[in-house]
Amino acid sequence: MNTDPTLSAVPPPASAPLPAGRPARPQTPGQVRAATFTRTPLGRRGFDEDDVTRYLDRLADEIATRDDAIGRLMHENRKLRHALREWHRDMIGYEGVDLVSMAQQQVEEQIAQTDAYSRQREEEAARLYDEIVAEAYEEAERRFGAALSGDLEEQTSRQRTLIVAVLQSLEALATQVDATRQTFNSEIDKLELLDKS
Amino acid sequence: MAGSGQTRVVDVDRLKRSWALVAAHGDKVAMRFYSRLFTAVPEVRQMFPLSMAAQRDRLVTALGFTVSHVDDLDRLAPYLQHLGRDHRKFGVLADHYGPVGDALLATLGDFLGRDWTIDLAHDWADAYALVASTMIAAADEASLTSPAVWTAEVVAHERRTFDIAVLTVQPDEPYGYVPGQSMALETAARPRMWRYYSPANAPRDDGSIDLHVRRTPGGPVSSALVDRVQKGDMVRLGAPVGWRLTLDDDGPLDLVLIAGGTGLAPMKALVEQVAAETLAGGPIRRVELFVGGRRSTELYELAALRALEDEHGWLAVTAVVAHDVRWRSSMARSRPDERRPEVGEVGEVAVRAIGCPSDRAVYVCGGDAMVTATLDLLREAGWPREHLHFEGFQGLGGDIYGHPDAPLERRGTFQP
Repeated sequence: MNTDPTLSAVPPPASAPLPAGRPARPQTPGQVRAATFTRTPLGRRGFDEDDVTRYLDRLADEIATRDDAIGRLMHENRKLRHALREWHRDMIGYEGVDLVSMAQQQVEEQIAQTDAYSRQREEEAARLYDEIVAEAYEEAERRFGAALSGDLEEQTSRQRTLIVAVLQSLEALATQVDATRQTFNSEIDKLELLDKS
Repeated sequence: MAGSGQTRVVDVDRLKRSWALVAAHGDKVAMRFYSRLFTAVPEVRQMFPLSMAAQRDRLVTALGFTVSHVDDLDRLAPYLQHLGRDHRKFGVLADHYGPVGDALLATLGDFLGRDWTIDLAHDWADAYALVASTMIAAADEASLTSPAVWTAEVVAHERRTFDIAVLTVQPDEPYGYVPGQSMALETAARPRMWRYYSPANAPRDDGSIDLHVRRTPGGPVSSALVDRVQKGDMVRLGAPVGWRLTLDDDGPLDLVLIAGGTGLAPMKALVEQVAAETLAGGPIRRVELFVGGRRSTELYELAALRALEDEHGWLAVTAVVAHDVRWRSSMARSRPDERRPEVGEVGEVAVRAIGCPSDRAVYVCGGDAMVTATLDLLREAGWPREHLHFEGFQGLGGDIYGHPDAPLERRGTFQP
């Protein structure tokens, strides 16, 4: 702030008293613009130097005072904002927030359980599928080797039926898992409604 | 943030120390944060999936990265800009950032207790304001050129194996992406659960996009996409992301592509890009593609790959299966000329086949374990790091979201 060369050219303000008879209220922008100075005596051009210096000193003082006030207010403001946040934090309270955390945790535990269950079932189904396919190939190759294409078709259709059955049971499982998810969804919806009320 | 000409300087060390104290509380921090957020603004809850576990990890990772780079804006700014753009698909608006900041500061206060001073709170408020304004500005900028989400219709759904399906989706608005990129996808069957998939084709004139989906046991989105989604269903797509697997113009011309399972998707897109560029008079690249599955029935796209191989002299495809189960079966009958696949792990077979390091760029995509094992072999064989491009399904190598180390800039100049 004090590095501006045009300001540092002004002599230190402390020693310059306010001109007598003027009001002690800070200068308004209008007053600054309308300020008049005494003409210099002896016909020289310009204003009285002391007059101008005094006035600039006065302005510098006032600016410094305002800056101090602004700084103090900003500090106050920061403190108030901080206090407001803390107050807001206390108002919401830990109980409400902790309740939401607890609900979230419970939901996640149940989801994890369901996921683990469905993962296990899906892995079992995949294994079963592999076995069925491997068996089918083995059988098909054996029969292929025996050059009995009609039997192969019958065999293939039997295996297809098996696979479809496996897929159907998987789909049933998926529906079940989905139903569980829907239940969780409505539970969470209820929680949200609670939050809002 | 700063007032009356006095620039307030954030005490970065103090900020980092305070985060270290808070982060030591682990998952509880993110739990408290979201509980505070949902208590204060309940309507925000519906933007998240039921289970928040993965979300909490992401939040802590993102906060950790932000705090540790708060004095390194060159790295932090692109990360936050990406985060801001990425949040558009969740329906995040500028108005949401205020309550999030309040919840964050309140949470920090909860865990710091007496260490939560006015000055520290002010530092955090300043830092958060910077984060929020960067994210908001990036989101606003992106909204000028692209929608927050694309709606796409499933126009084909083909179940290739017990647990793999190939879907074709048709976005309602032009969806510009570069082969090798991925996109977040949400299906109406599993709302608010976004998963990343990689287009398996170079951009087409009709705009349709192929997706290769394998059902992960217990994976809610992948099983819905394989089992339940049907032709005519709608999905939603986020903007394309990631530059890990895109072609690098400054890299070697010739390519080695190593794919495990549905990691084939981005590789097939790269092959199609090379085909398109060659057709347009681009440089000749030689491409060697290794495609692996557990067993021969899992080589779900082999017929299409063989067709590409027949068409393009610069492409060589090697099929690899981990277990040699009855090859002479349906596949052998449908393509009698199909060679018996190599047996082993696709990474091992590929690294053995390509031999000593040469002037080729190597791309690896698959499960994290497959990618890690393959990279180890490549490094052992002496392949230089700058020639290796990789991405794992479980986030290895970094998805931009939870893993900030992923490159955020594109390296290639392919114009879709």
